[in-house]
Amino acid sequence: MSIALYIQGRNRSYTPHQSGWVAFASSFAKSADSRLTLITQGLPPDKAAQLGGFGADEVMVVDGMPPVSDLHNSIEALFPLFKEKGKTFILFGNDTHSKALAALIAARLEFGIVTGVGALPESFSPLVLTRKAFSGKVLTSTLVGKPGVVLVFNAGVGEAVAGISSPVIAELHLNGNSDEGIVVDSEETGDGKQLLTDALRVVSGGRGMKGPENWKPLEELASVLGAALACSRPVSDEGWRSHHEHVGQTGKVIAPELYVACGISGAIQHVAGINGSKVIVAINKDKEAPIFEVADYGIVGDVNTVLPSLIKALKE
Amino acid sequence: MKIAVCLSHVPDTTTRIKIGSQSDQIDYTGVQWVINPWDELALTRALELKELPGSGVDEVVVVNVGDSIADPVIRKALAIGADRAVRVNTAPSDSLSVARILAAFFATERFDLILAGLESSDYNGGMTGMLLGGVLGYRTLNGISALNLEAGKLKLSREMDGSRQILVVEPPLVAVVQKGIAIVPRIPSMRGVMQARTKPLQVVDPVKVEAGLTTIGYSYPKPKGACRMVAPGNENELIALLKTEARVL
Ligand SMILES: Cc1cc2nc3c(=O)[nH]c(=O)nc-3n(C[C@H](O)[C@H](O)[C@H](O)COP(=O)(O)OP(=O)(O)OC[C@H]3O[C@@H](n4cnc5c(N)ncnc54)[C@H](O)[C@@H]3O)c2cc1C
Repeated sequence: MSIALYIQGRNRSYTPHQSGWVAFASSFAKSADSRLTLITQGLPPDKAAQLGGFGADEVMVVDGMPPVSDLHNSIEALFPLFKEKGKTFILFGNDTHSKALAALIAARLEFGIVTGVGALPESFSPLVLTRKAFSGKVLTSTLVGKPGVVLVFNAGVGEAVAGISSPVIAELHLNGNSDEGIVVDSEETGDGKQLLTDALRVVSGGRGMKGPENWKPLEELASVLGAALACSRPVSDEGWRSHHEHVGQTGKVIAPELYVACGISGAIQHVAGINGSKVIVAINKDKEAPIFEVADYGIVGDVNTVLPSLIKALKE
Repeated sequence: MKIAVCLSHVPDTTTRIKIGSQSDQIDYTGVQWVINPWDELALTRALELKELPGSGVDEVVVVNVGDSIADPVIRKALAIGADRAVRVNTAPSDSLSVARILAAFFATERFDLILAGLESSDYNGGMTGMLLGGVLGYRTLNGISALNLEAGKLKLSREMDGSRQILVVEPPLVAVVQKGIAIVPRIPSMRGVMQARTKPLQVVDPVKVEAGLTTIGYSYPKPKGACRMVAPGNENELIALLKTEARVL
């Protein structure tokens, strides 16, 4: 048995979700009585070692990879490593690049692939995994018929504790080919603000905010909490806020520790994007709003009065 | 240039999903089937591209893996404006099987651009498009939020976590598209609905593939505990609860 987890660093470091994935992969490996190899790309060795300390037995620090847009050659370069280190399970987080690699390696190795994994298997032999389907309306148990499987973890899993393992570190320089049919015309790297999908706290506004001019209190609340901002679909469709902030079934799926929904009714398509949050707080003037069915804490009231007093109370 | 849009049929997103009496299947009686929301956006963008003056796009074809239950949904795609449709006649199972079935079809007919949605809103697997690209061996990219044609090449935005790249790619390409590719999905016009009746919907047989995964049971998630209400004006109490009870502050 061997288990490999792949992580691509972010800005030469790693995010809390990524350390959670290492911790979760480690409990996976322990339950399967197996060793965990962490394969990192885009991380300096010291950071990779730190990340490995969340539970890996071994870290392979890879560099010299083809550009991230060249997915086929990326897989070509990583293939021998996955084949050797991930005989039973190859694990990924659910960021865009990892999901792409997960699919391509599964297609290449003819491994089954299960995404949306948020819990340890019901059983290891035979392998049965439970995951949400229909945007959280039901749970399914999936039987993986033959050994060799690729799994993609949800964000927000794992209890990350730094330094619980002291993995062996190996550096590996790969020489990938590159595809001349894909040219990078330009690249923008974020504005330094934390990403919505990485954020552990999120403040979100819906149509109940009445207009873009009313976002000040949400921005202020977000800044006091150190939270990222999100919104419901109509808010981004109306152009009140950028599409990058749209969460839900057709937007981003997020799993912060704290999600504060302000003036959001809680339509099923909205909830599909946020029901992985650990704690949901809802502020809505309608006590019958469906958001209260999924919220942990609620205030029935007008955002125009509740938000300022919440901000004031937090500042004190 | 020929564009294919992979189209999956899914229960309307507001549908209550009912588990069958044996709890090993979903009871689809009375379910309203719709075009998967992402695929609807992909189709919308494909049609917009085709309509650009001098686009060089000859046809937009929708391709579905499904049994006859999908036909009304496919007809809707034709009514929205697709030129023709292909249905590979089998009920879809796991994403790798569907990808292999699609790949076998695409081996018989070449497209320059194949679009697939980020995920289908039933099993939310989010893998079919990328797997298809992998099996087919075409250039494959996910996270595509904008798509244009430029001198026979494809100009795309790819949203990564923390960055965005503008890429110029030579066809053939499998592109997995997401929010931004189009904003509002097109709806069929009366004329479109009339025309759709006579547009070709070709039914082809699937290749045999062995499913690697089987869904062996369904259950409902545990209902969440009641929401704890705090009276407006008592925001201090909310903060205290978030600190001491929920431990998220
Ligand atoms: C295929 C499909 C996909 C979709 N995908 C998404 C998605 O990804 N994400 C998404 O969000 N939606 C999505 N939707 C739309 C979804 O169905 C809802 O229409 C949408 O989520 C509602 O947004 P909202 O809660 O901001 O607005 P509304 O439903 O209008 O709710 C506004 C809420 O604000 C409250 N309110 C009003 N004024 C105040 C005030 N002064 N103080 C406090 N509360 C106030 C009201 O009581 C109400 O509950 C999708 C729909 C479809 C059909």
